[in-house]
This record gives sequence, structure tokens and C-alpha cells, in this order.
Amino acid sequence: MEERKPLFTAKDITKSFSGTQALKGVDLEVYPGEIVGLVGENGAGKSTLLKIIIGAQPQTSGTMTMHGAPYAPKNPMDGNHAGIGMVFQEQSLIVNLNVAQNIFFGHEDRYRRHGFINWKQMNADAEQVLANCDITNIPVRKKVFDLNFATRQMVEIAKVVNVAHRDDGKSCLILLDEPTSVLNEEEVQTLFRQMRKLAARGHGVVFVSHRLDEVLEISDRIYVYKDGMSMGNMETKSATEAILYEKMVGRNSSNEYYQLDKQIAPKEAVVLEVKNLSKFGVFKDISFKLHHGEILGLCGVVGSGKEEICSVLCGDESPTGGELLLDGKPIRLSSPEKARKAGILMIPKERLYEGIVGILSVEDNIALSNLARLKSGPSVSPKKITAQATQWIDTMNIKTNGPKALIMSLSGGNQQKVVFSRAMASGCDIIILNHPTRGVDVGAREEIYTLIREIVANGKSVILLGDTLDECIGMSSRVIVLQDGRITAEFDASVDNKPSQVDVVSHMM
Amino acid sequence: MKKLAALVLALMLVLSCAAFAEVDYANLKEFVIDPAEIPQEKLDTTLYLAVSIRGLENPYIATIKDGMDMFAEYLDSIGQKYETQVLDSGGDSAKEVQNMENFAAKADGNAIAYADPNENTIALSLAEAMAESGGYVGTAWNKEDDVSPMDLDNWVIHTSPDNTVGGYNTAKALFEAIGGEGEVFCIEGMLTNAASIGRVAGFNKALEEYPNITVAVDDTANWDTTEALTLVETNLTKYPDVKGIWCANDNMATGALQALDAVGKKGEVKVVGFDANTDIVQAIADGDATATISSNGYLQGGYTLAICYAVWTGLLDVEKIPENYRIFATPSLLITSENVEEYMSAAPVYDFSHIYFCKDDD
Amino acid sequence: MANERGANLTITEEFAEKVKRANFMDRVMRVAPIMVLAVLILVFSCVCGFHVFLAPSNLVAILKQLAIPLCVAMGLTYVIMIGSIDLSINGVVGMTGSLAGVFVANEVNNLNLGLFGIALAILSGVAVGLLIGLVHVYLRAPSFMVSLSFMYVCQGIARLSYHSRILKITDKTMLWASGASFLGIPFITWMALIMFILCLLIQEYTAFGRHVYAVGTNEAIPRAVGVNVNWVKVRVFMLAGLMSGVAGVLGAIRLGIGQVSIGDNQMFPAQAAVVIGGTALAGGKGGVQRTLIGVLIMTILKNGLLMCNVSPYITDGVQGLIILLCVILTCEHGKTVISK
Repeated sequence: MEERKPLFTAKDITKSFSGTQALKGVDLEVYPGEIVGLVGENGAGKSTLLKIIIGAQPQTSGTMTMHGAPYAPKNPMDGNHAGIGMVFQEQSLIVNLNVAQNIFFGHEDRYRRHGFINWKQMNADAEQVLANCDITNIPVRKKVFDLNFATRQMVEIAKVVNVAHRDDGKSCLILLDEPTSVLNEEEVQTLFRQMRKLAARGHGVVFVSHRLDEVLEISDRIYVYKDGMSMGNMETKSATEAILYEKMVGRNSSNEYYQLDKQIAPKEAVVLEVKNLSKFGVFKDISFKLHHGEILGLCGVVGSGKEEICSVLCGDESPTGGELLLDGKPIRLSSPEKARKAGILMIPKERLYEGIVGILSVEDNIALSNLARLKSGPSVSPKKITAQATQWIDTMNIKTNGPKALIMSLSGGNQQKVVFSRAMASGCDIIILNHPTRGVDVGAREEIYTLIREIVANGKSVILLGDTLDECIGMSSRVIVLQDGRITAEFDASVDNKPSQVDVVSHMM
Repeated sequence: MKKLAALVLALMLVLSCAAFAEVDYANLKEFVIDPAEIPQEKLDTTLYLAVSIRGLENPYIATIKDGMDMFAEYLDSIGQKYETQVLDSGGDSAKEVQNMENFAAKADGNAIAYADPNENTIALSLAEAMAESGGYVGTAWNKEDDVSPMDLDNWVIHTSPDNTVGGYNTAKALFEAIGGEGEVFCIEGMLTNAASIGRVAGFNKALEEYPNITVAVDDTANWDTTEALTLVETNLTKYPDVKGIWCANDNMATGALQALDAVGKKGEVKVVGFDANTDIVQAIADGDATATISSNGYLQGGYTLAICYAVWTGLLDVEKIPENYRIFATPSLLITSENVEEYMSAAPVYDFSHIYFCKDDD
Repeated sequence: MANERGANLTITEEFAEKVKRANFMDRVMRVAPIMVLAVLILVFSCVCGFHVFLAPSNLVAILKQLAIPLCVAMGLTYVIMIGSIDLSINGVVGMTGSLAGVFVANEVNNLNLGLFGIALAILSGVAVGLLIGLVHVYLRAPSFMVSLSFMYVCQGIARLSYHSRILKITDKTMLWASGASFLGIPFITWMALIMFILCLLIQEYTAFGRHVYAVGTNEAIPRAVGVNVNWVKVRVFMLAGLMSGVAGVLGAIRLGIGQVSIGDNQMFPAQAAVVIGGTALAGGKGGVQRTLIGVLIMTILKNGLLMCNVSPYITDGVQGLIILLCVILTCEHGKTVISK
């Protein structure tokens, strides 16, 4: 193979958000005419890297080059000027504007005459831009709102290619972040043809997807990321799904870490049965049983529908089909309040936004979900609130200056413990844990695992959305795998029968 | 002997003065403020004057403030220290009461005020707000029937031009102008407002005397010019043969005239108002409008303060003032083409020492 | 994996179907205001009689009553399209209406600036819009509080400007304008229609007009391509000030008097017209052409209730209920539509 100069390089990129390291030093090289696939589990850092490359976020350290020259964008416009364009996961089209207006959005100046825009000229140019990408059959005067999703994707790509287009004829780098998640097979093929055309003209393309089959089909080379680090890259020729799965997942953590000695076998009794639960366009035909004393893990990539299932179970959203049986009796959960009364409580993911009331004290936060039981006469008894809080601070080993301390003064792990206390104090029998260890340091994480084990030992049942696959498998006694809104596999995960991460991940992607 | 004579003379002088100072409460109409009788300490105290009104943008209401300024000039002439203030409620009853509370508290007893209660119900609240810090207030136009200044020493008077008589007079002038027959519009003010209710009652009274007059439209324009314009504009298309428009105030008459002007019927369709706004008075002089009523805001504002002043200085003992001098009607004037020139040429000049000049004798 | 991919198709298809349904609902919503308008006209015609309600003289009356709310509502449409709100309207209209009277020939002062005075009055509205925009954008104060404060400031200026004297306008042009009509359409309505065309041109044929939609949809998108989002917002408030200014001048022409009450009760009908017309309060969607329908609905509602001699004691209540009904019928409600 001849010696080629890379179009783009990134070296040792790190990124930390308020304490947590999203990227721990990753590399990326893209050559002209190459389609590079990026794969990795949730939280591996793919999207973060793309945002750094386009200039939407600054890196904490590390360097990049484009066309051999140092490249340090301050904003996406700098990225565009350097010849880099990105199709974001959420499309950046203005739906109430037409196709041409979207393609030239922010660049209208060159069509301005006497203050008014020469739409005719712009439309003609827009047609040219689309033609350059070999996209036909899209009327440039049509509002984006009236286009279907796949067509919008094409417009987005044409727009991005156009803004990254350089007058000196040098090649561009096009970043695609999960562009296929809402496309059907035919549309995906159209997109792939488009990507191949771009590559054939000498442009570089970076493609992020959680669908391994697609990545294997379209990419020339594949990078695997895990936990913010590159696990190496390989030519697609020499890659198989099995190899990628191996690289994507880490080693299973030790049994002590997840306190398997405390894992108990669930009882026969079914506390919650989900039958053919569906939410139109989000998930479909979800059926499972949650047993007494069970930790049921839900695995799946972002967008697989697991979060939405939890939202339905805790009464936040209503399903469009299927039924829920609580202790064998059908039940409708029309609001979180009803769910809580029925005995289902969710500990939310965004602790800071949904889980705690920052200006309240520790004791008030704990009392939030069971104020009715702390009454003395018609009003709430402050004594009972404090007594309850003192008890939980003790049981949960919460590090605080006392029940009256403001919750904002606590560390992340201790805040999470307060949220846990509240859940246990609520008296609910089914607790949904949505990423309970997100943004929590290692020590606190261990304590949270202990808590989860205790919750179950106390006869409650848990549905767990793990922060990592390892955690989900390690903690759960049964694992359900979701892909694109459907259950694709179910694994027993009893103490000596834990499935391997590769087994699970192969049903996720 | 000479000494004795001087002593007797002095004694007589004192006695005669005392006799002169004796107030005839049964005939207060003759009472005159004698500046020499006002204690010097009162003259040196800063007296706070206020008019509590809704919206200076209303020209009639602006004349009330002018009345206060005219009375202030009188205070200058007798050497009284004072400060004036306008309490503008903007048509908000709660705000009006609050304004009065703040004003009274600031003045700490040394306050007199004219108040035009936004609604009947707040007249007593305004008086009570004043009573709390010991000032004196006189109200005009609106009050509940079952409360009276007699209930409260700090509520010196309540006056009102007779709305029913005024409404009757303008209606009669209108009906005469259109020859006693045909369709008319009746444009009311705010539906819950006592002034509007009284004026409309007068209109209806006159209507009974003219059986050939029919009321085509009876609606409210909330005292507002633009609303009246829209109301008349719309109804003119439905009742093109309307002969006259009776308005409960001049602001609305202005809107009615504008609507008529737009279709070339100004002067042809007769319009009457109430309040003697300058533009309607001018329109009467020009022959475009038929009649209006001057409630005389200068007189209302100025004399209400004058009476309160007499009480504050101690010249009058409020408890001794008989009821007919505490609740009475102020004179109003029907302005038509016959007397409009005279009305326009005569700028009001008042002698505020004759404090009960403002009481209508009828 | 291929078989699973095939099975997954349904969810993707469902998603596409969902987008399609949202689009369909949107199209229905686009015609809903027109249906409401038609129903209103039909009902009033039946109740009052066709020859009365649709008489040329009443149509002219409706056109006159349309002019000022239309101007105000168009300015407000822009503000709402960027997801903000302008509550200064009553004040700005009252102020420019008063100032128009003060600056031209009148019975109180001798300024007599003529057309220049009218321009000056309108400019004062633009200036207030500029201030509101600057304070809102650069001091990061919520637009509803900033504009509400400016409403009071403007009313104060208005009262100060003519010292409570009746400001009868004697300017020849203004007096002519109040009675003039062309092709049967009153002058002030022509003015409002010209402003409508201007607003529509700005909306459809300028970069600024396009940016307004983008700012209302998602500020991050225009920011990412280097559009000065703050400046777009400031200009939107200036445009709203301009429209309020024009409305004030038209009000002064209509009344023949400059006074602060020209601006009274302008806010709510305008707001209702914009929302009923179909401009989303969340921003990014709508337009002045829709607002025109909304203003027609509001004007005809008011006119019709007067024509039908509905008792004044219940008019306000009836009007409120009908507006509520219109809002329920024409606004998107329920969960957010997925179509980014």
C-alpha cells in the first residue's frame, strides 16, 4: 500500500466533565477517501469525541490536525472553515423552513439584494448542492416539516457537505453521529450509497453507529472505544462481530465487587407482570415478569427503549398498548403518584434535576415521598421528620453534618444515598433504579451496591438500568436485552450462571 | 379713668371678637374663613393636600386637580404651609385605598383630601384609611347608601352633582333637538358605576315623557372613547336612521362624534354627553354636539379641600356640622348652544373663604 | 443480525408513521382557524340577518376595526415566534398615539411637525422596542417583565406628553386620513394592509425572517452557524415597537385625538389573535398570514356581538368563552410533537 497522508488526526484527546472523565486519551486517524466506523458501548465516548472534533465542545487536553496543519476549533464554524461537517444525532434542520433555506441557513448574505433574499438564485444553488451529492427528487422549495425522516437526513448531509466544502478543492471530513437509528433498511442503503460517493471523491467519513452489522458493511476501518479509551483499530476485512464484541466489553469484575455472596435467589411469587406493553414508535410487545426479591436488569443501547419502559412503569408516560398486572391484578398507572401508591417508585437518572430538591435539607428530602405518614394531627410533625432522617442517616451511613444540613452540601454519593433513603422510606415494594451509580465515585458505588442488595433482602424487587453492562449483569439475577424497542434476549444471571458481556452485547447491537 | 376706659374697650373688643367667632352651624352657607383666626402653629405646620382620582388622562378629572391647585393658591395668600399630591389609582380600587393609607400615614394627621372613590364600596375604606392617622377627607360621586360621613368624624363631607338630574337634562335636550321622535342610542358608562347608573336613570325618566322616541341600542362603552367609537361605528351600519346618541360622559361622546364624522353624519345625528370636556364644549359651539353637563371639577376639588381645611384648622367643629352640610349636591350646569359662549368665556374664579359656596341650594 | 433487523422494521415504521401523523395534525391545524372564521361569519349572519351583518357599511366598519389590532398582532407574532412575549403593547400604542397628537397640528401646542411628527411618533415606538430588546437580551431579564415595565413607562410618558388636556388633532393630513378611503377600503385599513405585506415580505424574503424561525425552534442551531441570535431578538422587539407605533398613529387618526387610552385593551385581543391564528407560544412556528386570520376572528367576534345586541352584561363573558373555544379548537395541545 502506498504511503498516504492522513486527512485528519486526533491524538491523546481527553475530556472531563465536572470530575468524571468521559475521554481518557483517545486517538483517531482518518485518511482521504476512507470511511471510518466508531463503535463502543454507551458512554464509551464516541459522541463526545465527535463534538470535540467539530468544535462544539473543547477538549481538556490533546491535539488535532486537519490537512496536516494544527486544528483547534473554538466553535462549529471554525470546524466548517477547516472542512469538517457534522450530522448531529438530533437533526439540526429548522422544520418550518424549506430545503434550500436550510441548506444555506446562516449563509444567506451572498443572496441578499436590497435587503431581500434572491430565493430564485438560492433555490437554483440548492438544487446544485443536492445534485453534487447525487441527491435528486427533493424539491428545494418544500418545507422540511413535510419531508419524511430519511429525506431530511439526506438534506442534512447535503447541507453539511456544503458548509464543509472548501473552495480550494481540498477534501472534507464528514462526521455522522448515529445517522441510521430511525431509518429503515432501504433508507439505510441510500445513506450508504451517499457515504460511498463522498468517500469516492476523496472525502473522509466518520460513522458512529450502535449497529455492528452496518458498521461492518460500510466502513473501511473500525475503531473500538471503551470507557473513554481507544481499544485499537482494525481493517474491516479482518474484523468480525465477535472480535468487535470482545474488544468493546471489558473483563467481568470480581464476584466480591458486586457482592455476589449477598445475591439471593428470587422467590416464585410474581409481583409485577408486563404483558405485550407497547408505546407507539418507541417500544413494542414487551413482556416480562418481576419476581419477589429479584433484581431484573434491563440492557440496551441509548434509544433501545429501556428508559421509556421505565417511564411507563413509574407512571410518567402512558403506554399505547399492553397491560400491567400488579400482584396478578390489572392496574393502570396514569401518574407517578398512582404508581407510588401502587408501590412502584423510580429513582431517576438525573439526580440533580429530578431526584433531589437542592434548597431543602437532608431530612426534608427524605420525607418528601411519605409526608402523609409523618403527620401529627393535621400538620406534618417536624419531630417525626427529624427522627426518620436520623434513622436513615445511621442505616445508610450518609456523611452529613446532620439531618438539617442542606443536601447541596453533600457529595454525589451521599446525595444518592439520600435519594435511596427516600425510596426505602416510601414503603414501595418495586423500585426502579435508573443508572444509580452515574457520577458517583468508586467508594460510594460500593456502598450503593450494598444498599441495592439490602433493598432486595428486605423483600423488595428492583428493576435496574445499569450504568455499565458489567454492573447490570453483576448485580442482576436476570437480564433482559432490548434492541430497537423489542426484547431480543433474556439471560438467567444467578450467582454461578452469569452470562458473558459478549453474549449480552451481541443482542444489543 | 383712662386706664379703666382702655380696659373696658379692650374687654369689649375681645368679647366682640369672641362673639364674631361664634359659628352659626345652622346657616353654614354664610360661613367665611377668617385667616386671622387660624392659629399660627397651624399655619406653620406643613399641611398635605391630595386629590385621589382615577387617571389624569381624563380631562374632567384633570380639572379636579386644577381645583386643588387653585385652592393651593388661596393657601399661599393666607400664608399656610402645604404640599400637594395627586393619588392616581388608574381605576384600581385596591390601589386607591392603599394610596390613601400611604398618604395619610406620611402626613400623620396633617392631611386633607378630596377622594373620588373608584367604586361605591370603597368610599368608607378611604375615609377609614384617613381616619387612622387623623386627617380629613371629603368624597365625591360614589358611596354606598348605608354609610355616611355622619358615621366618622374624619369623613367630613360627601358631595355629588345630581347625576339623575343631569342625565335627565341632557336626554331632554337631545329629545327636543330631534323633534321628539325617532331612534336613539344610549351609551352607558361602566355598568356598576353609580354615576353611570344615576345618569341612565335620568335618561330613562326623560324617555317616559317622549313616547315617540325608541331606544335602538342600549350598551356600555366603559367610559372609553375608542370603545364608544367602535360601538357607534358598528351600530350605525345596522341603524342608519338613528337620530340621536345619548352618552353617559363626554369621552364617549367624542368617540360617537368621530364615528359620525367618518360617515359624514356629524351634526346631523345629535349627540349629548356629560362632564363638559373642552372638545365637546367646542363641538356644541360648532353645532356638532347638542348638550353636555359641567360637573365643575374645579369647584368639587377646590371646595372639598376648603371645607376640610376649615375643620383641620379648628375653625369648624365637625361634630356640630349638620347632616345637610355634610351630604349635599354640588351645582352642575347644562351647557347647550344657548349658553356655550358664556360658559367658554368665563374662566372660573373662586373665593375659597366662602367654603359652602359649592353647596347647591336647590 | 439480518433477521432481527427485519423484525425491528416495525418500530422504525411506527416512528415514521408517528411523524406522518404529526404532520397531518399540523395540516389540520393550519385550516382550523379558517373554519372557525367561516363558522363565526355564518352564525352571526344567521342571527343578525345576512343583509345586516354582511352589509357593505358593516364590512367597512369591520375593516376599520381590524386595522389597529392587525398591526399590533403582527408585531407580537414576531415576538412570539422567537419564543418571547411582549406585554408593552398597551403602553407603546398609547404613547405613540399620544405623541402623534402632540407632534402634529393640534389645539394644545404649536409644534405642528406634520408628517415628520408622525414619523417621530412611530420612531419612539421603535426606540422602546430597541430598549426592551437590549435589556431582555443583554441583561438577561425575562421579556415579559421587561416589556411589562416598559408598558408603565410608556403610559407615563404618554400622560406627561399632553398634560391631560384633550389633544384634538387639527393636522389636515390626519383629518383627511380618518375619512379617506380607496376602493371602498378605509385609509387606515390600507395602511395596516401595507404593513401586513411588509411583515410578510420580511418574514418570507429576508434572512432575518428566516432566522426568526430558527431562533424560535432551537437557538443552538443558528448560533452554531454564526447567526447573531441576540441581534435577531433585538430586531424582533424593534419590529414589534414599530408595529405598535404604527398602530398608535392609526389610533390617533381614527379617534382624531391623541390620548393614552388609544392603547387600552390592545394586548389581550392581539395575543388571542396570534394564538388562535396558529402561532405556537413555544416559538418557531406560525407567521403573520396566520395572524391575519386570527385578527379577523377577533374583530368579527367583537363586531358580531355588538350587531346581535347581546346584553352588555354578558358580552364580556360570551366573548371570553368563545375565545377559549377558539383556542381549544385551533391550538396544538397535549404532548410535544416529535419532528425536529
